[in-house]
Amino acid sequence: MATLDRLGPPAAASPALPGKAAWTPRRAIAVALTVAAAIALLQVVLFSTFTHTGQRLTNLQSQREELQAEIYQTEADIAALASLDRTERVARERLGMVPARVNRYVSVSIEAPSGALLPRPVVQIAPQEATASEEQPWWRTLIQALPLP
Amino acid sequence: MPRNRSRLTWRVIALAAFFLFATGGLVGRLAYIQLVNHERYIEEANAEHFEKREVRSTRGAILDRNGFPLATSVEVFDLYIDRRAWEKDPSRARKTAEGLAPLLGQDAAAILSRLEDSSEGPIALLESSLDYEIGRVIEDMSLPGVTVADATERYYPEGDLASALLGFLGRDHSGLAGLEADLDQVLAGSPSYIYFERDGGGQPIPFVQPIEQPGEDGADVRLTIDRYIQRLIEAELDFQIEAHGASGGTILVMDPMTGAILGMAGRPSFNLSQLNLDVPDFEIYRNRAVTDLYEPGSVVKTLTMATAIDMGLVNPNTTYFDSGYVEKGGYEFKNWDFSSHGTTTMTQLLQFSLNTGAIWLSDLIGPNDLYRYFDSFGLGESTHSGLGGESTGLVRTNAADDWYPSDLATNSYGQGIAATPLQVITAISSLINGGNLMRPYIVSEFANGKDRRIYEPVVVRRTISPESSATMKEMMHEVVDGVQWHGARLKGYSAGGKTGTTLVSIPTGYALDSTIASFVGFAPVENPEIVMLIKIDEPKDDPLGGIVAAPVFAKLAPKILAYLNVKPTQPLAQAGQ
Repeated sequence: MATLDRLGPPAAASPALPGKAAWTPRRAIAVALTVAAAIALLQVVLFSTFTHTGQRLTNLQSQREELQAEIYQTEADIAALASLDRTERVARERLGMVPARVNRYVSVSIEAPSGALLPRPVVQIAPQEATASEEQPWWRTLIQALPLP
Repeated sequence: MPRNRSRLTWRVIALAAFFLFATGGLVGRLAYIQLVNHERYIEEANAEHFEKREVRSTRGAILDRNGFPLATSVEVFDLYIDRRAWEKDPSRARKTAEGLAPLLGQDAAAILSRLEDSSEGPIALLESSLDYEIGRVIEDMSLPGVTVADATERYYPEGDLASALLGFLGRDHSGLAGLEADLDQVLAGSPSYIYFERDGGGQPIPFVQPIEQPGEDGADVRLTIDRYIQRLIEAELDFQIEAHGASGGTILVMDPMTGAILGMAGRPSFNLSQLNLDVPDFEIYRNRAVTDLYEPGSVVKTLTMATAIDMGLVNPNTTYFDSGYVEKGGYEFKNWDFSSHGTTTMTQLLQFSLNTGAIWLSDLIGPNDLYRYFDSFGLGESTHSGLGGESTGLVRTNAADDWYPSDLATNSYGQGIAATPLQVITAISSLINGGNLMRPYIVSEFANGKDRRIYEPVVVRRTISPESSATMKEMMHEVVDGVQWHGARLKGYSAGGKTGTTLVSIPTGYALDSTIASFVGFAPVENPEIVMLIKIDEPKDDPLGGIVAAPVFAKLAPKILAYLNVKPTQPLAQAGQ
């Protein structure tokens, strides 16, 4: 009827803005739940990543310890192989060598090599070079410069 | 009707004051806890939440002068059992025994009986020093009641070489003897600590990154000892002791110019590979080259002669008359072979090792100067080599109440003086190196990841002038190379030295049937590269240093000099062993 028409449409939401839906309570709840779920999911993902990384770290540390133990054992094996007792035993038993009865000395005009004329020593104590301060990434420098507790 | 504002007001005020007071109290308490006692509560919380675990650092290696390890460490595991794990279920013990048997190479029944033997208490060490790989396998098996603990074991690649010098470790991995004890702080480094959070039951909380306080690995120590020279002299010492039926002996090899000790062997000693600390004979663990005192005997005649020459009282051609005996302080002193030589030069005095000549020199020098020079030569004081247990020796001078003029006579030829082999070789070195008393040293450097410390030779003092040293070197050369039959003559090299034969001192005097036969020699004379002291204790077949000890020098010196690439001083001569 015309009277009813003049009253205009029911007092519904204000005319919808072009391209944007109205915020109904149901929508707001859905969005909030989605955000909460996303946060929870993020927590789970982060926690899982952290745990996984922690486990990897533990595994790597364990590997490092094993490798270090192997290194020590290898060094000990090398030292044993280079020991004088073993050298003499191999010389006598495997190579059939005997101690020299006569030593002859021959003078040559070439300078003797420096250092001991021995197999390469097992351990070299190399001089430790003074290390310059390590360069760090810019973001670490920035963090350190901030007055954080 | 107006409200009774005053009644409402004082109630409100009272209530407000109460709340204000309570709040103020709470805030004050919070401030007290958070601000005033901040550190204390932090510490208490950390003590409650965190556990600290010490991780022992890797012990440094001991290397010879060329870098070959003499002692190094390897990772091992110690296997512990907790018998409470099968108290209620004995089948768990059987499971553990069966799991361990193939890995330990033992019978499962034998292991089971040990597991069930509660006399050791609930927790016991089942096996120690397991290979790292086997320990890891056992750890992964997670057998009931079994725990593996990280450990390290000292390993000696050269076997029993230099046992007394190296020493050994205790179960707590700290040095108990030898260099392992003397250098324990350097070798051990500092432990690292791991702090991790624990729950209410004391268990580590997983997934929480532990905080590590890094320690420092022990430093590797490089010695002046050469493993080849050490092995040579040890083998020769063992041979000579057996050949002469001796009770023991010492051989020292040193660089006379620097004081670096190239070899140090003493017997009797122990074997590192068969260490048994349950044996209560701790005598065998000492390093006799620095701990044992003896009367050097005729070797000291060179010091007496050097004193007289340095004071300008005599020269090599100065003569005295040797009648074969001297009376001093109511005692009669004779030459060692009861001989008399008539008019004798100073060089001949040393060549014939005449006691009468030494006494004649001591009278010329006088007690004050003689003991002053003996002190200068380092007799009666520690050499400060850094080796543990070093004795200082004994020289009774004319300042002592119980000194007699006859002591001057005996001291002049090395009796009545007590010195260590290291003191003697150090003193003799000063006669041939230009007159410098060098501090003997055995550690040349140590280094860990960041620090490196190198030890340089130290000149303690000047003993005699360079001219006197040159004279003494030549005279000692004549003692060896000037006597055709001398047992210390070398093939291929010029040499010098002096023999010594002394009676073994006992509480009541001297044992007339026991001697200490010694010889101190150096080579080459022109530029001494090595000085060597040989001391054979109580040889049964022959008492004399010239017969027992001097030939050892002739046997060892050419090998050592050739090894050190020292050019023979007689290159056209055929050099042999």
